[in-house]
Formats: sequence, C-alpha cells, structure tokens
Amino acid sequence: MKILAYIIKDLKIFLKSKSSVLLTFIVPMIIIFIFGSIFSSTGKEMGINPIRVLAIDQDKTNFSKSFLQEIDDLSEINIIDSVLVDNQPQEVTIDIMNDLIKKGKIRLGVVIPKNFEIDSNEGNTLNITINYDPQYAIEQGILTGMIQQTLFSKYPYVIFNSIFKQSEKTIGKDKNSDFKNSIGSVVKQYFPIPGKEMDFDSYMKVGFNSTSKDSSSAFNLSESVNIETVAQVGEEVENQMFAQYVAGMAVMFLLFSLNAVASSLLEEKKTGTLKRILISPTKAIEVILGKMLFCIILGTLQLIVLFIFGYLVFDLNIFRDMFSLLVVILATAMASTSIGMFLATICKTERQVSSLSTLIVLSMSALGGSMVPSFIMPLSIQTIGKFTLNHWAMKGFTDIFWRQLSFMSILPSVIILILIFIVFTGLSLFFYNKWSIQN
Amino acid sequence: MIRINKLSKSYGNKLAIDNLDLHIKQGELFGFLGPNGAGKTTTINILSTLLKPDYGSISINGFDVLKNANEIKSSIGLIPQELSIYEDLSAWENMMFWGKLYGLSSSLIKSKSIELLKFVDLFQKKDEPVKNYSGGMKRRLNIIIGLIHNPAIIFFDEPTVGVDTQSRNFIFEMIKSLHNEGKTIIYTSHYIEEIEKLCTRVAIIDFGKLIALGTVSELCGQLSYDEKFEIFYSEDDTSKNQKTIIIQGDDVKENLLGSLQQIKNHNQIINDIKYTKANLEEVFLYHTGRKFRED
Repeated sequence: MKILAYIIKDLKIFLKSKSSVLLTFIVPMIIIFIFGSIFSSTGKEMGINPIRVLAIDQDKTNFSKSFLQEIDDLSEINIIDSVLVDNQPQEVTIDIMNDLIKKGKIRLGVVIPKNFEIDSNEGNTLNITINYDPQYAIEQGILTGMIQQTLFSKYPYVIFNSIFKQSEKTIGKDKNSDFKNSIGSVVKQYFPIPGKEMDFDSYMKVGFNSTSKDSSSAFNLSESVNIETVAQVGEEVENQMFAQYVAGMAVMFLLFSLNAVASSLLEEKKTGTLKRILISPTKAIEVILGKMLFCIILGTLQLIVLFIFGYLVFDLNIFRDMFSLLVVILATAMASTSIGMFLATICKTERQVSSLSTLIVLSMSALGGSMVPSFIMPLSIQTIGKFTLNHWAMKGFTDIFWRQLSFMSILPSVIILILIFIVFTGLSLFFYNKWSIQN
Repeated sequence: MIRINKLSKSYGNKLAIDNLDLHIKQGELFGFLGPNGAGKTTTINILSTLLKPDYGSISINGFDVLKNANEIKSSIGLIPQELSIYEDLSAWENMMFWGKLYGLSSSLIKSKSIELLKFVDLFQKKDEPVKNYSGGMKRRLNIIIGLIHNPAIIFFDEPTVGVDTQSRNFIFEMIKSLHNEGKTIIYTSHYIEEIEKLCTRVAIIDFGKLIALGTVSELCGQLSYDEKFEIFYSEDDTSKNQKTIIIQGDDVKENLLGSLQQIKNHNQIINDIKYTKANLEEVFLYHTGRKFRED
C-alpha cells in the first residue's frame, strides 16, 4: 500500500506539472513528427525536393537534347539550362557553373561534351562530366546513378554499340558480326516483344529493357559510360569532413547552452535576487543586456575554444579569414543568447524552460540541418528550416571553412543572425518589463 | 514622507488592498500587522515600485511612485523575507555587486561594506563563499545588502520568518539602531509581539482593509480594559451549565478576589481562570470578531 501511495503521489505531482507532461509526451511527438516528415513517404507528399542540376550541352544535337530531357523528366532531377544575369537569361558556361557551385548557389552541374551523339553512334565511350560541391556527395551519387539508369533504360543501343565496338577491336570485323547476331538472338529469345519481328539494331532501340540486372551485368554496361566527377569546392581544405560538419556541431553545442541562459534568470527570480534588482534603479535594458552580454561572451569563447580544438586536433584552418570567423561566431552567440533570454522571460519555472528549450534545440537542429542534411528534406521542411538559427549559422561557418568565401558573401548570413538577435532581444525586453512592473 | 491615498489592488477577482489611506512620517518605525494574505506584502511591493496599483496614488518624499520610480528606488531599501543573495559569491563580492547596481563609486562601496560587515560581525568572513555561512549569518548579510546605498526608507518584509531566536534578537537590535539613526522603517509581520515590541505606530490590516491605526497604546486603548479576568465555574464537577464571570476595569484584583470568595461560599466549582492583558491580538479580535492567526 505504501508503494501505491508513492505512485499515486508522484502521478498527481506529474499531472499537475504541465511542463513535465509537455516534455514527456508532446515534445517527443513533435520531434518524431519532424523526423517522420523528413524521412517518411509523407515527405514526398509534402513535396520532396528534386535535385537541381545546372546543365551545359556542348553537343547541341538531338541525342544530347533528348538525353537531358529524359533526365529532366525524372522526378528526382530538375535540369536548369540557363541562369539569370541582370535579370536576363543567359546560357551557362563552365566558368559560370563552377562559380555558382563555389558560392553554394548550385550544388551540381552536368556537362555534355561535343561529339556526344557521334560517340553514341560509333560506340565510343560516352564522356559526361559532373561538377559538384563535395558537401553534397550524396546528391552527386544520385545524379550519377540517374544518368546511368537513363542511358541503360532509354538508350540501350548506345551501350551495345560500345560493346560491339570493343569486341570488334578484339575479335575482328567478321567474327564480330557473328557475335552481334548471336547476342541478338539470345536477347530476343529471352526478352521477346510479342507480335514484333525486327532486326537486333531496331530491337535495341525500341524494346530492350536494360533494367534487367542480368543483362546489364552480363554486358558490363557501366564501362561504356565514363562519368567524371569534379569537385569544385573544398579540395584544398584540410580535413574536409571536419570542416563540413563543424558548423552543425558548433551550433548544436551553443544551442544546448540556451537552457543555462534561461535558467540563470529564472534562478534569480526564484531566489529573490531579481526582486532586489527590480527595485534598484536599474533599467530593464541594463538587466537584460548585462545578462545577455555575459552569455554572449561565454558562447563566443565556447565556439572559439571549439574551433581552436578543431585546429589542434583536426588541422581545421581557422586562420584563413579570422575576421569573418569571429564575426559569424559573435553573431551566432548573440542570436542564440537572445533566444535563451526570450525563453527566460516567457517561462515561469525552470521546468518550463527545460521543456521549451529541449523542444526548440531539437526542432531547430533537425529543421535547420544540424542533424540531417537539408537537401533530403521535403521542400516545405526546407523552407521552414530557413527560419532557424541553425540554418544561417551553419551557412556562415560553411561559407568560411568550406567554400572559403569573402566577408561580403558571408554578410547576409550575419545580418540575418543579428536580426534574430534584435527581434528576440526586443521580445525579451517586452516580457521583462511585464515582470518588472506587474499589472 | 509616505502618503498613500485610496490605494486599491486586485488579483483577478480577489481584492488584495481595499481603498487604503495612510500617512507615514519621517523617522517612524511603522508596523504593518495582519494575518497571512492580509495585503501587507502587496502594499510593500507597490510602495517599492514592483507592482502597479489598480487605483489610488502614492507619493514618497514628494515623488509619485508611478511617475518617478527611479527617484524613489534610490531612496528605498528592501529587506525581503527570502535570502536574496548570491550564495556562490563571497559577502564582499555580493556587496560590490549590489553597490554597483545603485551606481555607487568603488571607494564608497568599499567603505560602506566595511562598515556594514563590521556592524553585523561578518567582516572576518567577508571573503568566504556565502554558501558556507550559517543561516543567521546569511540573514544578516541579506539585511545589510539592502542598506549598502544608505536608503532613507527601509522596508522589512517579514524578516524574521523561519529565523532562530538569537538571529531574531540581532535583527531587532539592528532595526532599533537604524531607527535611532533617523531612518524611516516600515516593518511588516504577522507576529504580534514583534510589532508591539518594535513599532512606534501600527496599521492593522485584514483582507486589504485598514482596520486600525495608531500607537500600540492608542490601539489597546480602544479596548474597554487594560487587563481582564474570566472565571469559568459550575454548580458541580460535571462542568455542565458552565457560567462565566468577566472582571475588568478598575480594581480588577480586588474584584477578582471578591468573586472567587463568593464562588467558594456557594460551594461552586471553578473550572478555569483566564487572564488577558490588552494587546494587539485583542484589538484585532475587537475589530474583526475573529482571532488573529500567526501561523
């Protein structure tokens, strides 16, 4: 009976604490919903993001145009063949493509070289170049697969041309003709098109379904296409992996200190020191900024120490553009602190702070791309992600470490972080004033 | 010095202060007496600019509480009931912080801190973290922090709740000393003896209403007696049909003896004799018809 009394007592206490209920049931549900939306089929319904690929067609033949159109028709790929310069559409050049990739405006570009159609007809190896940002290696892998799949499924004759060209070199023209006819008979025998009689060349163009695993492996089709991938960013960056992910880690760790920021003000409220502060001739802005400045300094130091650690242990180049790095660190610490202070002024108890900060840190980290790469998220989630601190802080750090952009290119991210700081500081002041003189 | 006119304050439907009028003079040791929830702390919070009144006006040293909050804040000190100190810091570091909040110069903070820490016998331990202090030491520090800016008006909001007898006596001595220095002190408590012992003038409030105002002797004078005896007696030892004789007014002792003799002569049985001296508890009972609860 004593055990039962304990259970009932704790249950009553638990149910009376809205924040405990929130933390136990609602927060996990929201987080599961966010991750579920990212990974589940629901995401597709919400508009999964096709990979945007900038294309340069140097061949400009019917075959090259048809090939790009086939790729564009895939739901996973969206081919872009022109860019706006001074609001005028302009044909893409290799330099423009590479510049856009370096600036992070586009992640992938595909170049169809001259003689693409001739090579396809003559059985020469088809050369396709993919220029990309290695930060998006998964997208590059998807594009490579899609190109191969399109060639194999839509233009199988290209592959066979290549095979027969190779076999001709080895076994001679006469024997190659027999080889070709033999293969043709076998293929037609096993993959017949009911009611249609045609020679093997025609058959390959209309009927061969190369999606069969057996046929593709038997003919070693992959060697018929040479897809060259060229990284445009980060080749010279030491310890590329760390440089890519440091931003996400840094922002996550900083956000975890939100709880401490908010709790410190509530602790003052709880102990009564805030009451004393409120009756001293101190302005609200002095209290808020005093508290926030300490947290900003602490957050800045935290990030600096983290990056120095990265330099010492992972050779992260923090000295290339120290000014930009310090500006982004400061702006991130400011934005993060202002959100923490906002939480402190709207919450009444430390439990509430704990619930809300957990919800905010996990949601922002998930939506902003700290936990999962944003490109795999549905479009709607990606759009929401742009309203998170993580997105802009990560963009700022990635632009410095990975893309090695100039300060002016990083400035938009910094401005947005400072705007977050201004908005949340304003809200904190508003709610703090409600504390200081209660109606 | 402090003038309160028709002050009212509600929390939702609950009326915390109801049309309160008061005038507290400079140098007074003024007591606010009332049971828990009577409106004492709400009044102090409004006087110290923490709360906005719903209605009425308050002026302190000629400054309006709402319009001139900053001027008022510099001249008041609040000694809250709870320990409002940073326990991870030392007493000295606490004094420095609070002094800076009042815009005092470093040299003034230092000299004032030395004076106050010596006054409460904490100077020797000024560099130790406050969390290592005893409860009484923390309480003393809590008080002198409110005095760092040398305020002319000091609010003591139930400063002895949960305090041991020794510390309580120390606090009383301190308050008397501050009063002797000419400070105006507003002391709130629900402990009747404290108010009777300390205060020069008392306001008794109940349910936010001022029910009595005056010196302790003036308030006790509202009663019809200075002291009274109640004799409870019955005809036999069953205590049934108990009767009461109340003896008050002049010649109380003589009348008491006479009454006792009379009961004895009639072979009646005395069950109990109760002695009551006129005090603020009786004043409260007189005005409200209810007993004053100190818990």
